Amino acid sequence: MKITLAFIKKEMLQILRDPSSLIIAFVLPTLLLLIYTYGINLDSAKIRLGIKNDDINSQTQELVDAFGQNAYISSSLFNNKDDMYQQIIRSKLQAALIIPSDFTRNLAAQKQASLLLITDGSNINQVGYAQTYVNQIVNQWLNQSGFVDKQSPSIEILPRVQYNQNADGRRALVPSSLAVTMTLIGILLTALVISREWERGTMEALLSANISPWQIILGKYIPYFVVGMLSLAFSMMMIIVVFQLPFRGSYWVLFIVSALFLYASLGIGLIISSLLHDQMLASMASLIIGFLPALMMSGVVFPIVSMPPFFAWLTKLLPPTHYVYFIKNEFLAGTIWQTVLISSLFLLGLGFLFSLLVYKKTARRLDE
Amino acid sequence: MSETLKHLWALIKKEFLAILRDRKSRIIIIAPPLIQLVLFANILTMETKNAEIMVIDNSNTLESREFVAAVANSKWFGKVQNTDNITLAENLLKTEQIEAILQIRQDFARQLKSGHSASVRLILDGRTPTIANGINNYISQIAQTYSQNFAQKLGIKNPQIDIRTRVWFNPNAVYQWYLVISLIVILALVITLMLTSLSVARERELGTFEQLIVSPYTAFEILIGKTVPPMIIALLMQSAMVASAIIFFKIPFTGSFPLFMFSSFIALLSFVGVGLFISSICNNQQQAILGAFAFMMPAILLSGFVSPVQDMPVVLQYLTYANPIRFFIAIGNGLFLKDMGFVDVLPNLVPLIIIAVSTLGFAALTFKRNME
Amino acid sequence: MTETPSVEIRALRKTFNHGQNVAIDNLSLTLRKGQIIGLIGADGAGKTTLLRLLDGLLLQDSGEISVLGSNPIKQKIELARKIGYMPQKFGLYEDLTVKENLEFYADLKGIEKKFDTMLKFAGLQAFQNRQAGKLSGGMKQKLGLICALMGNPELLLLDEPSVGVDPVSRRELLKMVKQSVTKDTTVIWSTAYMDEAHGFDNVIVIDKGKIVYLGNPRDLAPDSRGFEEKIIELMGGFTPSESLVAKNFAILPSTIQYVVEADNLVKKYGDFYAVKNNSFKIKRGEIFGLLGPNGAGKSTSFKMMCGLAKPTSGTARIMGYDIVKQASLARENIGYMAQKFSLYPNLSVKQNFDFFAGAYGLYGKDAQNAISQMIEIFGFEHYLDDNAQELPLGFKQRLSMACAVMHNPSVLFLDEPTSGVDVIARREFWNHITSLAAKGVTVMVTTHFMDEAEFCDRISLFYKGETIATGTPDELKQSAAAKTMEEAFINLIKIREEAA
Repeated sequence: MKITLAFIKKEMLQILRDPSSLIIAFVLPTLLLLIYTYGINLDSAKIRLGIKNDDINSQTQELVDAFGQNAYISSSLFNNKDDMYQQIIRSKLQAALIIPSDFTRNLAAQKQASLLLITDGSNINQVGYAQTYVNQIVNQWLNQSGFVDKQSPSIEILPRVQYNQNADGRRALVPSSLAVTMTLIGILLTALVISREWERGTMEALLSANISPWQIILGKYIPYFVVGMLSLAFSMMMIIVVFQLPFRGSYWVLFIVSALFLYASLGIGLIISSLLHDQMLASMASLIIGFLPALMMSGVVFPIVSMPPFFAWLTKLLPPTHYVYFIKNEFLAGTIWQTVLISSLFLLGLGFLFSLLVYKKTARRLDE
Repeated sequence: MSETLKHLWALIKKEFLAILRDRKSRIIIIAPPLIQLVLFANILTMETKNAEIMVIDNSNTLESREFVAAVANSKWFGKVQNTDNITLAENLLKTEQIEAILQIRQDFARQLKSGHSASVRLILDGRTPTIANGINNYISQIAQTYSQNFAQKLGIKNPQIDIRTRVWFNPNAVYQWYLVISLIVILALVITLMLTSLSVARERELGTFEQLIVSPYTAFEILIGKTVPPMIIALLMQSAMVASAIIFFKIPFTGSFPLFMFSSFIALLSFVGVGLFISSICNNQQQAILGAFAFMMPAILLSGFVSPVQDMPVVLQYLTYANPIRFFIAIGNGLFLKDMGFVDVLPNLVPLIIIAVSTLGFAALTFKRNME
Repeated sequence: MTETPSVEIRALRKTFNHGQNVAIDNLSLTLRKGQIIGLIGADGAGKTTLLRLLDGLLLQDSGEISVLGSNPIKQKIELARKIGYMPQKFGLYEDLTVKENLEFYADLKGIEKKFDTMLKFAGLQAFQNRQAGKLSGGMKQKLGLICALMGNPELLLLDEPSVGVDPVSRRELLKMVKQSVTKDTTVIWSTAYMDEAHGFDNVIVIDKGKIVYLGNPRDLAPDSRGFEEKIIELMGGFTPSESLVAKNFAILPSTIQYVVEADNLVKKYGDFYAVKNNSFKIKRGEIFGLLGPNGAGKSTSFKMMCGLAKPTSGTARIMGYDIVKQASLARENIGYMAQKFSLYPNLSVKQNFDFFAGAYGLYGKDAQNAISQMIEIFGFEHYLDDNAQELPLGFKQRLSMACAVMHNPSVLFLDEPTSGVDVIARREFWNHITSLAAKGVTVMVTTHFMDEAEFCDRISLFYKGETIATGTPDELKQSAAAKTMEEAFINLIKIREEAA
């Protein structure tokens, strides 16, 4: 115990001496939180729409105005089709709408009128938004215009969004983003610590002292765990106090599951560190098995539901997946015990598995 | 070969060896980007797929069953199941085992038949807003089509607007096309930054930078020596990824290929520049790694890949002018899908050139200062 | 009852690279308690491997080892308390202070944190709060030794503790060990300094993994000079022959009289003068030695001369070119060997050779010729594909030396070239150096071996950033009224200290 404490103290002193660890732990999360809060928007898009109106009259003018009043669309009128198309190629417009000359005539004749909507398929995320927005505006306009006067059967969808009434993406994204940030911090902090002992020759001295692999491992886990938890607490405070996102869960549950998550993340870093005694390869590996999968596959940006089932299952091997699952609930829905239990069990299991691997890979001798 | 070239070649060869010295490093540098391209390209999408819906059909009429069938038979959803138990359904939604609950009211058929509006309750999960929005849109479309057909059956003729949509450059709206091009750029950045950001810092830490400084290499030669190997590796890796984009993912290449290769060269040069810039200001590898990550993460997030640049606050938009991957993604999309001409590529190329020149210039200056 | 020997080894064998490189070959050895044993051997003879095996850091292929009656692998934890091990590479945390390092190791060993006497004795008391990485070489070694001595170990394994340490500090290291051991303590001290080994109770000489001599060093020869000759004989002998390096060396003709010139060089870090008003001129073909205790400013002077550190004021000229203003021209004439090994550790020996040949303008056939010569001269046949970082210390130095001279530079800067190389290689090195100088190569060299200083044409003695004496070795000895260079070194510094 005394030895482990000495080890922890040494690690702490080294952390404090090198400002880069503290930058990783506190400055980086702040920067990323700002980016996720203000820079990323996953569930709405501003569409720049070009309109060419070949059927100018008061009714189509109302339609054009309707586009102008929509918060998600900024529209501009074109007189020349080719000019408008050129703007799409240049990515200055995301969509173009052409109102044909027979538009109102057809409507007045109770016939089917058509509109042509061209979208820029090179940015596919925006295509869907453009289609949805235009569709909504056009139908709304149609229902209020004088062309529809008879009673007609229709189905009105009354959506109710549970846990996040306004479907405000930021409320889900910002807490989830912590899973990516903390994976990265956990791995970055630890991926280099053992490789550094090898590169600088201190490993030989450690191995010759009466210190068991368990003591080395605990000595590496605990200090970075403390730094990681402080960093996490700091990020939470930023989210709740500074960005004022509502938190509906329990701080105790948050603390415990976060601890489990950090335990698992540190494990990945330590595995990398004990396998690769070279700082460049270790950092490359952190990026490949840490950051990229956490960003892409944990459900923060790309929904897991939409993945093919086998891969959706595979994401369960990533600690951040479980943390995303947990923390969204903790913030938006409050503590759901079933969710807490499932994610905790997974995190604990993964963390334990990783520690076993670290233990197996920690050298006891120089020729191992 | 002239003397100067031979002199440079010794340095370039050394850099190659230092990067690809053993099997372990070669595998770690080459395999993961290719694997990740294939993996991510096949599994990631922002579209709503496989979503499972619980239906509570309180109407239980021919019409309501028809409507539910229309939902179930659409290609967008996974399992669509019926239940009477609202508590069960809400619990499933709560624990994210289903994505939505569709509740049809008792008067559904009656309202429709009498030419009224029948309301349907759709309970969505706001913890995954993307999916919630997606389901809402799909159900609305199905409802619109269903009610139009219903009206026709009743013999009601109403004017309709048919919005004919054309998705230019990607007629079938294949999500993969968009994804693959952006992923190639992101992975290219990851590779180059890792190869370059440590290279000088590592030599400083090991003391070998002193040997370089004492040798008759000029600062400019060292810069070239540090630039060429990662450029070649990155270009080869990028070409492999582009080839797989065209061959395996069948993404059409519509633009000028030479222009694309030229732009890739400039873009990769700017990535290398950023990496060497980071490396030249760091004293040890840990700092360099921190620098690389601190650049890479915001760069990926603010590239337009995750969410469009024009939606960002103005301050962040200005910040993205220093982000080479933003421009490279734009060029990639433009030349792959849009047959962009040189004039249209240029506005994206100029920032890349500026980034490349300034970062490489700064790195060279730092080497020069070290040598004086 | 017979006493358990401190070390008992039977038929020990250890190989690396799946049996390709034999490091220890059928070695048997019994050492009784209570003696200081010198471990001597050629570079790559297996000294470090033997010490690591004794400490349980490596596992033997076959044979048995018993240390203090225990098995070093199976009973590692119990033994760890009884063994003090000082690795060759500084095993302390450079970013921790002296005190923090000591406290950490004291905790690891579970002993009381009382280091005052030790610190005072080592002269480190004033530096307790300095980061270990910022200590001079001698101080680092002392700190490493204090850590190894902690907890009064019964067996002390020291792997070249005196490499790169000045004569004064070396004496202090030995004094520290002698004062802190009891009569039952066994010390195994690996060293390349023959005068040091000559004073020990017993010496083990190993060659190619086998013991070639075990016994009292004074039995071999009564004085250290003679002892050195005997050891060289045991290790295969050395007959001075024409230096092949010098033979094939093509020096550029030049009419410059003073090839290296320093004019009032000053290097200041904040308020601290690392080098104060240093001026000297070195003639073509002269060997100019820089001597001085660790941390006196020798390396800083060196670095300013090669253009690695910018002088705060003053100028340095190589072949008439200003090292700052005409850097590239000046550098073409320089061969530089750094104090700390600074070739590419992850590249193989061959790859390092290839690079440095190209870097200094040797290509194609010229390069191949030069490289194969270097391989032959420095004995690299068996190491060509090994990574430079895995080489034994002595071979690292040979590699650095080879890379520094390969391109026929007019000026050689050698910063402690012989630190860590065996006695025979040292003689070879100096054979090359003196022959090169005879051909007209100008050499600036630092060393901690005082016998080597005798080979210099002129010596400048550095102390606290200033030159306190310059002259031929004889002149220096005269002025200090000393018989040997070592004595002269110690006396001159003492005189200076007393004056201050």
